[in-house]
Amino acid sequence: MMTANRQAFIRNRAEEYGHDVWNSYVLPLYFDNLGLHEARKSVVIEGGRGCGKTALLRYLSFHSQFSDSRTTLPDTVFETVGLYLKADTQYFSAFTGAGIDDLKWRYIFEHALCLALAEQIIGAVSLINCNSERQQKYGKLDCLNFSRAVGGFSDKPVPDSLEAFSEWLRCRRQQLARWFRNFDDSPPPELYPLREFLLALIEEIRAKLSYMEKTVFAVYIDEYENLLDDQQKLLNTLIKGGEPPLIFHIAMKPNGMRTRMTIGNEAIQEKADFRKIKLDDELRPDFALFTAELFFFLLVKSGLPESLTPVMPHQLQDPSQIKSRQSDEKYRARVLGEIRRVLPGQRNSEIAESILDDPVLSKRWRQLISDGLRAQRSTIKPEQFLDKDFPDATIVCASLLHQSTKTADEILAELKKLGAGDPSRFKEGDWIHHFLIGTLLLIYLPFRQRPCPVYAGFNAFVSISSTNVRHFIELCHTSIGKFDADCDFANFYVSIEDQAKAAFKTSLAFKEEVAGSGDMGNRLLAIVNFLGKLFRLSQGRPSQSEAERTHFCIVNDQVSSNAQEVLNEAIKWSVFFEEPESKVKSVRYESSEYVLNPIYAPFFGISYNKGRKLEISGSQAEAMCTGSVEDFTKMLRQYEKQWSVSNPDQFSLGLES
Amino acid sequence: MSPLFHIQSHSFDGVSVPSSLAARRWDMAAIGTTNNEHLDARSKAACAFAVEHAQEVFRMDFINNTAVIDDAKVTHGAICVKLRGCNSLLIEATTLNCPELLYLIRAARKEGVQTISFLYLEPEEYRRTLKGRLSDYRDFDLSGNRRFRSVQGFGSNLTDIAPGHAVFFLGYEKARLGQALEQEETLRDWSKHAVFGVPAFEPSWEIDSIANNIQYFSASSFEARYAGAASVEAAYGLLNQLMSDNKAGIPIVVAPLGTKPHTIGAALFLVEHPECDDAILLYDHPQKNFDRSYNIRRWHLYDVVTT
Repeated sequence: MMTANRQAFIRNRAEEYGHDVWNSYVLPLYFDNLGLHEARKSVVIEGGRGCGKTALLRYLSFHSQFSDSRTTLPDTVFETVGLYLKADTQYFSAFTGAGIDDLKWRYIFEHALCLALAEQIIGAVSLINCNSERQQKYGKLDCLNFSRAVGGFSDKPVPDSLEAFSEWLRCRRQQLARWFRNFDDSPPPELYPLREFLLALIEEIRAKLSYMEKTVFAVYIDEYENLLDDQQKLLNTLIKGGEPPLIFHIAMKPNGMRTRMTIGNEAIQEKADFRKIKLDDELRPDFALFTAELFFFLLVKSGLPESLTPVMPHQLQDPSQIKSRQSDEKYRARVLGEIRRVLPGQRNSEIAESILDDPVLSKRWRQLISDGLRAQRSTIKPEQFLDKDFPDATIVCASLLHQSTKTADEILAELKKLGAGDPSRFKEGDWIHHFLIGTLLLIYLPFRQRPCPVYAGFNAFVSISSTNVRHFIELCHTSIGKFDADCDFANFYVSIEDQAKAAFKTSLAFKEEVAGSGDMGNRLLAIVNFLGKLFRLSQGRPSQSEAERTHFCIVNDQVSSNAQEVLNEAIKWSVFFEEPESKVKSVRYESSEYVLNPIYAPFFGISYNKGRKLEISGSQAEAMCTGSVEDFTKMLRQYEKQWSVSNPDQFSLGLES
Repeated sequence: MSPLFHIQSHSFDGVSVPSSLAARRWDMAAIGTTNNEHLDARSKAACAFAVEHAQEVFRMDFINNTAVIDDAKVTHGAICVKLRGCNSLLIEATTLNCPELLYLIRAARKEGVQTISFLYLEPEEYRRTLKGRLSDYRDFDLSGNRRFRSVQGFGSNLTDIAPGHAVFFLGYEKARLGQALEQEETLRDWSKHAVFGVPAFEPSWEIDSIANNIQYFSASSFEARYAGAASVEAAYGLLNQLMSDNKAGIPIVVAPLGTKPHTIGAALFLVEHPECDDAILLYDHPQKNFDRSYNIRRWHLYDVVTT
């Protein structure tokens, strides 16, 4: 049967799959570590963009767990029923001001949340009984009497039956929306206390439905970081007071919890009140295997016969298979081997070889060699540094000759030792290890129209994506586009050139997307452009003595609270990642390192590895976070002067698109 | 159903007060904040005109989700009281923003103000950018972008309602549409319309609007629409046309992220359709960046009467 070409990787957000992800969710390999299904204390799930928070919560919610596409429901599924809630930010963020005091707004927010969750509870019961077979097995919905359960909360009659109660809830929600539209002229609607109202509902369900008699309801609040401070305090209160049968979990971006206070005088404490899970840390160890599995899973979903892939989708969706996926080395090797065949990359020595065979790139190499020799006033001929049997060493000479600590004679002598099979500083002294990628990028730097193979290949895609699944899927989507499931898959692969082009395109797209990142999107985009240009300037230094610079630290960490707020926001939106500082050059305070998200590397022509660090002063960090356009320009020009990058087009980085 | 508002537009080239406006008088005028030291030339001229040509002038603002008149917090009812007995109101739209426009129009309509006029002064030039250089202004756009936050009386819970039409009026600032799509992922399933100001205030400016937003069109399908950048009527008409074509009665989200005349048109439309879930505002409350425009190119006065 012919299948149409389908864009297997076009959907890169959980939201695009709807609430029921039962058939589309690949269980991440860290799933067993979470213990969310058994959790009886609140969990705070923290993760950067695209790490899979929303997909995970939707998988755990009743929409997926009781999905009508599930033929049988195991008994364990009734132990915890997940209620997923992602608040409409623009709606709830307007629950403030307008002459109404904060306390009143809190009650209104609590009421809105209560209605939404009550609807979810009713929705879960309905979905459990979504067909006649299930009704026969579970059913007993006629026993439920909601009037008796929550009638006392309302001055008006509350209907008895599930269906009528569901409709009643909908009307209460509409009433609130109508008041919101016209609140100046009408009295506020009747407001319900969240915990009491929901517990009364849950009590009724547990009492009447035997299959849910021990059910714990777990509320998953997504994008907690978007709530107003007072709203976060209400959620914190619910976290603190959460216990079976009603527990509150939240998911948020890093630095998303602006306050730990509750609505009382207490604050919530990690360990005592909640357990924190950092999804990026969980994802990192097996990220390559997980993305490879996801890659084949999506191809199968787009029509590729399962037998042609190294994965079996049902295993990827089965919690009992996680251990074997993780521990079976043969399976791992097969999956990774196959994806490396489909998304091939070149070893750095192969890239070096192809540079020497390319007339334009080899000319650039020769120019760098000549410039280095001229600067050293050496009489050695450039050709003497060309040894095609050792292309990586040959390439590295282009930067070594610019390093003031090494002489041309010394470098040539080491190259000759290498050629003779003797120990040489190229290998044993780590010259190749330290400088090869930097020099490859240096050679490619002026040729933006040429796809750079450093960014191609599955390994490169994994590094560029860091722990962002969305970035990985988008890299695949841009590389492959429409996939013909009827293709000769055994011989199907994406060319290095297409992958490299896709990396650049994807990098540009995600860079531009930064402008939409929260309240400081424009500032964050400016910071990405500043750091990208700064690291590109560093990358353009022929010596490569500070190779692969993609991260910075702030000397003594001294910045104002306004600048710190910007840094926190940048971390929240994964513009850069914060890590504890690794190497400290002099005696000073221990501080943090900020690594630019590697997704921006292909656009700026810089490394996706964490190479040498740039130390910037507190005042420079301050200017980056709170300064003007002129401050950015001034700093870039200072660095340009300091690093003396020779560039025919002064003050231009060749970044014109 | 014919639209509620009838709009008559008057445009005049030049920097100084047009002679045809010299004799105009209004009972009242509402102006935006004037105590900003960076207030640009056109805002100063527009406010001076309002002060000169109205019997009573008040300053309006929208701070922390609350309407403020002459530094005092006010409710919708208080704005109505303020406008009671007023027959002609001048709304100085160069300095006032979308929420203030909405509150004023709604109150003016309720109080039966016969003529509402909007004044808008076009700038001579916006700050231009240098491309691909270290000092590329386009790469370092530091204008503050803000959270999309609904305005009480004009918002709705988008996750609670069925998908409808989402109309984005787009301008030069590229981040605003991206921010809207990022924050309101629920709009992914909506029919989206991108409205560009064509003809633009100046030939070629529409290219900037399109170029700065085009990146978002590949990820999500948009129907491109056009309305003259200076035409309140075109923006208002476009929305009403969409409403009258909308036989299913699905909601229309309006995001005025473009020119001020488009924002006025959108505000008129939103006031005209007050019913819950008919017309919904999506707005990001941008911070004013006065030093981005220079001088005055053209004066616009829009007289609006209720039909």
